[in-house]
Amino acid sequence: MYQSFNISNFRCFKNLNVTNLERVNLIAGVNNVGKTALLEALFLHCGAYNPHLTMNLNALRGIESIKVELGQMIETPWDSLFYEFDISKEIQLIGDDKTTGVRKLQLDIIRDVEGLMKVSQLIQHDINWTKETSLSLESPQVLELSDMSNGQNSYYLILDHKGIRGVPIPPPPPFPTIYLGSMARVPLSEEASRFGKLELNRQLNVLTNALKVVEPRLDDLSIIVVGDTPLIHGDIGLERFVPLQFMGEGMARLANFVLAIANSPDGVVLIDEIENGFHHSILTKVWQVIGEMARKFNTQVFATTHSLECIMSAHKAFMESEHYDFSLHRLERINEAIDDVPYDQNALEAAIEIGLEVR
Amino acid sequence: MDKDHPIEIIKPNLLLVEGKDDVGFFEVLIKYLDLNDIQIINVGSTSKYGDRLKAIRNSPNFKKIVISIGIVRDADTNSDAAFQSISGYLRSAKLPVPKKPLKLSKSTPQVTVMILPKEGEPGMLEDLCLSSILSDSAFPCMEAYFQCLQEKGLSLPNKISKAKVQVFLASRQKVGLSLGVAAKAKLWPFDDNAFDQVKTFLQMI
Repeated sequence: MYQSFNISNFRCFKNLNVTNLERVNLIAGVNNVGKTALLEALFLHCGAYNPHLTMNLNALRGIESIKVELGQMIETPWDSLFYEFDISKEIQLIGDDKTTGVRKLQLDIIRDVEGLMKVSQLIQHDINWTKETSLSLESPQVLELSDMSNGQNSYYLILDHKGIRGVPIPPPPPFPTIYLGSMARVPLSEEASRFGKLELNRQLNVLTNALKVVEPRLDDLSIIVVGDTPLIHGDIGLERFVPLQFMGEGMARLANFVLAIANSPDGVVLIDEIENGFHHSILTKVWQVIGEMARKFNTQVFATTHSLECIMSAHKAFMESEHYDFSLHRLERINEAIDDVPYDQNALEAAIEIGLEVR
Repeated sequence: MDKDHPIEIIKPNLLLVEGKDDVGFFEVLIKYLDLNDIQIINVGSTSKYGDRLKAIRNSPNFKKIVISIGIVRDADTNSDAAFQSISGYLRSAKLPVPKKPLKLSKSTPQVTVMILPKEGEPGMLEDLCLSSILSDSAFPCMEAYFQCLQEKGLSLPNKISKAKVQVFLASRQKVGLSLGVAAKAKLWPFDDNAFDQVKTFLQMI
C-alpha cells in the first residue's frame, strides 16, 4: 500500500509530492490539473518493469490510435508523457509502499547513437544499428524504463519498421493493478474473466451483495454467452435473467469496481471519474461497498472526481465505517507548480461543516 | 454545506468570525468603512476551531490569493485566555501567530486577532454594541427592566449582554431583530467612539 508518491517531469507535473495516502484516496481538482495524470503515473509505477504500459495510457484517455513515425528528429509516441513535451529530462516516479519499500522508476527516450547501439546489442543484432543508421530518417524510437531500486535494471520498448516490441521480457509486477478509465468501458470478455476468477474462489456472493446496494431485488448472478459475448446476467425475480448492462449504468459500473478490487488482492485499483453513472442518492452506499471491498481484499484504491456530492458521500461513508481509512487530495495549480493538498478526516469534516469548497 | 454554492475564497483578506450575528454585524461595518477586499467566513465558536482553520488554509485559492487574515473572538470571561486559545489554534493550523491582540504577525499571510469587546476587557460583541448606545433614550429603560427583575428576586439570564441587546432592540419599531439584522437596519451608531478600536482592527486586515 502506497504511503507516498513522487512524480517528476511527467505530463503536467514538473514535480508533485503526494503524501498521507490511505487505503482509499479520492483525488479532486479543477480541469487540467493532473488528476488523471496522477492515476497514469501510479499505473506505470505499479506496472514496475513494463514499458508497454506507456502505450496503454493514450488508449485509456480514449485515443485509440497513435501515429508512429521513425526518425531521430520526429516526435515519439511517448513525447506527451514528458513534462512540457521535453524529452531531454527523464521522468521519475518514486513510490513508497508498505510491501515493496521505496521503488524508483525512470523513463527516458534514447536518441543518442551510443544508447541505440547498446540496445542493438541487447537484441542480439536483430537490428544492426550503426552510426550511419542513426543518421538516417528511419532511426528507431526507443523508450527506456529503468527500475532504479536495486542498481539499474532497464527494459526497452522499441518501435521500428518491424513494429513494436519490448526487450528484455519484463518480470511480472510486484502486485496486481487494474485501471478503470472514465472514457473506456471494460471489455466484456475481461469483465467475464474477472467474474470467473471470483466464482472459482467461491467469492461470487461478494459481488452479489455489493450490487444489491443498487438493485435490492438482485438474487443471483451468472455468466451467459449471448452470441459470442459472455455477459454477466442477474436474477431480479423476473422470468428470465437480465444482462447487468440493462439494469442501468450504475449497476454495471459498480460491478466493474467490485470485480477490479476483488481481482487485485494486495494490489491497486485506479478509477477515473468515479461518480459517473451513479445517482447522488446511492453514492454513500457505493463508497461503503468500495471501502468494505478494499479492506476485504487488502486493495488500495485511487479515484478521481469532480463532484462535491461524491466527496461528501465518501466522507459520510467512511465516518460511518469502522475505520476512517480514506483521504481526500486536491491537486491545485499555484503559479507554475501543481501541489497536493491532503485533507484528513478532521480537516474534511471541518470544511464540510463551514461549507467550504474543497474541490 | 450548500452543495450548489460552497464557499470559495475570492478575496485577499479574510475576516473570520464566530457566528451569524457577527457575519451580519461585520458585513455592515465593513461596508460602512468602504473596505471592499475583505471576505467574511463564519468559523463558528467551537472546540474544532483549529480543524476549521486548517480547512480554510487548505481551501482552493488560499495560497494563491490570501495575504491577510483577521480573527475576531469574544473574550467571554477572560480576554487573555481567549487570545491564548486562538494562538494555539493558529499554531496547530500552521498559520502565523501574532504576539498580542491587534498586532500583525510577522510572516505571511499576516494574521491579526481582536478579542471583543475591546482589548483586555471581558465580554463579547454584544457588550461592544451596548457601549455604543449609552446615550440612546431607550438605554435607561432597558437597564431599568433588568433592575426591576433583580428587585423582584428573579434570576437574570446567564449571558446578560445578549439579553440586554434583545431588550434594547425590542424598543425599536420593528420587532424580533437580531444583532446582525439590527446592524443592517442601522441601529448601531457606527460613528460612535465605542467602535474605534474595531474599526482600526478592520483597517489593519
